Amino acid sequence: MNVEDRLKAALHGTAGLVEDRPRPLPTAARRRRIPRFVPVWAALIVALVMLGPFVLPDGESNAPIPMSSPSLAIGSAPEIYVAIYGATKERKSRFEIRSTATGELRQVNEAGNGESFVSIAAIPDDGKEGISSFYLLTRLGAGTLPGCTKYTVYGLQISADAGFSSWGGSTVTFEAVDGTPANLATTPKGDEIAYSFEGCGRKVIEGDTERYVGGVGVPGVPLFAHHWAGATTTWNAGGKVLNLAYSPDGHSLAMFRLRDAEAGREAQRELLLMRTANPDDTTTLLRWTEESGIRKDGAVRRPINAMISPDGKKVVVVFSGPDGSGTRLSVAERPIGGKGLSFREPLTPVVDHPVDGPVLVKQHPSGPELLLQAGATTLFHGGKIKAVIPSIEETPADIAW
Amino acid sequence: MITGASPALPAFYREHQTGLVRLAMMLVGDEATAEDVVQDVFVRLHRNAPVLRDEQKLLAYVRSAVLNGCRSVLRRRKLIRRHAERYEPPAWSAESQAMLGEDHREVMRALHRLPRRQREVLVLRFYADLPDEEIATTLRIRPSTVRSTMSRALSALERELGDAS
Repeated sequence: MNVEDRLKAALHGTAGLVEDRPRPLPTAARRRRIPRFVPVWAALIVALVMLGPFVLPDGESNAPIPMSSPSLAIGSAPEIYVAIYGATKERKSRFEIRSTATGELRQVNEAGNGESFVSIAAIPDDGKEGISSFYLLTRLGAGTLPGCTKYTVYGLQISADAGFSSWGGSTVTFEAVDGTPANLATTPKGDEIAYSFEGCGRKVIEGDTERYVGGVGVPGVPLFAHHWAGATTTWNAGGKVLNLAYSPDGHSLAMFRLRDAEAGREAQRELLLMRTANPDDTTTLLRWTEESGIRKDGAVRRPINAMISPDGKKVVVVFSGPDGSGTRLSVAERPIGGKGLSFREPLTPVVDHPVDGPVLVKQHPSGPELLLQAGATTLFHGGKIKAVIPSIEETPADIAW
Repeated sequence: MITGASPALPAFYREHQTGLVRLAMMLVGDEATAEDVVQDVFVRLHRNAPVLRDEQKLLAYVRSAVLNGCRSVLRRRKLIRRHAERYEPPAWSAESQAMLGEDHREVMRALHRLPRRQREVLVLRFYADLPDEEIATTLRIRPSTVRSTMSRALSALERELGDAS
């Protein structure tokens, strides 16, 4: 008998010791409990009796009495958000589920061996009652060609109380230059997925022609992909992609990029709005040269991130500053009109806050709020309201709610 | 949909309680503690149930909760052992009066010398007959991790049994 048969027989033999009989369904406290806290309580009561007259205040307390427990929600923001972290020497890659209001850690899940989490996007209108759904861009490991690494986008579901999470299937799998896939975005229903990466195709020369096989595209060239109805289409991004977001109807994709410098033109930061049916049909929502920015208190603040608002009606711009010192974060908003914005048009920041590192911006899926990650601090921005969620002392690779 | 207040919960409990107690028994070693673990889970389910759309997902959720309960019991036992208190010996121990064959005892003892995750993966596969995906959902790990853990666990168990014989 092999080890599997012996194990199966032993397990079923042990299970057979438990009789199949009706057991009452409990409705209150459990029946038996190990009295592990009895000694602690006894010691506390004795200490209180002995020391009470010396240490207890004899007047009424001046301490404020809380009127009610704090709300777990801020504005219309979801109660929880998810932060993902890459692998370190000490720790595997992981995602953490935290309270939006307090930053309290609800759950931690580590990636499997050799895997790591890269980027996350929320699916607010997936139609699942009481469940928060996400897509998780995950690095799987070595690809099929030298220089290629395999990535996939998994589904993830989290219960309303953040106490239970489960994995969904893999929606799209691709190969890319290691470390380049980023900026995962999806529509509110989760039926379209976009991400940026660099291709890892192998050059093949046949006669006078050359082409790339295996991983998509020319190695080192920034690309972005749009996945819909089981098909993935890939385009040249024309520069490093810094952020991606869909319009609510999924018809447009906003891309914030650092456009490559070309002959006679310096590198620029641009926010483009592309029709997903035809990315060549593009509107430039805003454009700055690398050196320009807004002026506040006599100092120049440069745009470091931008995107369209969740309702698709506004452009949201995040500025660092002043003068690139990276010590303050300013957020400005502008309605999307017929014409794009240029750096010459003045923008007045509605939020101004000290930061300690790179800034991530995530849309609230169904409200006007933004989730901002500035270094190790998570910030909530809803209109003029500003709430600082306690520092979690480690900068996440991505966040979503 | 089944929630804590749902009238479907008692029927769900009746249908699955024996299986869940048996699953807990594999990990904690005695029926009374296994019953406590399962009942604790259902008490919590009454008070604060997750909203899950179908019974299979609820079963996976409850299985997960039972495994968590078993882990808590085992942690508590370590503490109790430190304070020299007694608890029911596991069914596979030499002191137990349970009617379990010697080979089964030997296999169960070897199983309990394995790391926790390996032990749980083996129980969920070879007792509960769950596929990789369901084991992954229950233990909140990736299916690929289930497969690698299973392979390592079987090799380790084989070594343990070889060393014991």
